[in-house]
Amino acid sequence: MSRDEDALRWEGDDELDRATADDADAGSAPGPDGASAPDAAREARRRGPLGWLMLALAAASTVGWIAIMVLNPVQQPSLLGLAMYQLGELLAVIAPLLWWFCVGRLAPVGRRAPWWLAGLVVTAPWPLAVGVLA
Amino acid sequence: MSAREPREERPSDSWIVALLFALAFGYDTVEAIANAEQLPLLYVGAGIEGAIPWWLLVAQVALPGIFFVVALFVGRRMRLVGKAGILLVALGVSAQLSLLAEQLARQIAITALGA
Repeated sequence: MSRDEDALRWEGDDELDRATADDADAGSAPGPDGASAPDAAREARRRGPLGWLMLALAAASTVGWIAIMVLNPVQQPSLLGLAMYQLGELLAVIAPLLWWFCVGRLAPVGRRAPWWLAGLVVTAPWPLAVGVLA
Repeated sequence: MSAREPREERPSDSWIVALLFALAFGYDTVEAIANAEQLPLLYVGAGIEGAIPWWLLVAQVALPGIFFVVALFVGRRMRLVGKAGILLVALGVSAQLSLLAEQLARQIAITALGA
């Protein structure tokens, strides 16, 4: 495979001790628990019901941040300032889903739930709550 | 298809990515410092200088740097894409907190004006 094609493939950024799809190319050696490497990789990638629930909640947070962005009047003195402000708003909107995705790809299976919960708390649309409670 | 050669990641790659994100977090900090200079003037102009939320202004200046360091710490053993992902999430959370600080400052001013 050429380097150009390689650049277009998503290989993930898994932990070093986690089997990856590459292992399937190198041969299906059985893992320590008897499962083959591709099976272990598939198992590690599986989100489970909790993962999908967290995805739904992260999507709800994203909708909240979109509402904040729409309701927030933007006044910036310069075009650069306006562009950077809107870039910040875009990052704020995608942060809940980005957090969910990064936990799913980077955290070991056993540690995903606390990281997902932390993400829900940290990336919740708090400005909406401040506006409602005030 | 033969097995692919493992990709080489040089330590300088991580430094370059960290430097690029440092610029973005630095921009957040500069913006927060500008806010810390201008917001008190608005409060003084409105006659509510006693309600200036200094704690909020200080937090807004300090948090982007803290997020940057925490993201580097969390991603220290990860490969380059993982590091970049963690730093991007931290930048997003920093942007969220800027919007939250803006909303809090607005609510504090409204409350002080109504009192």
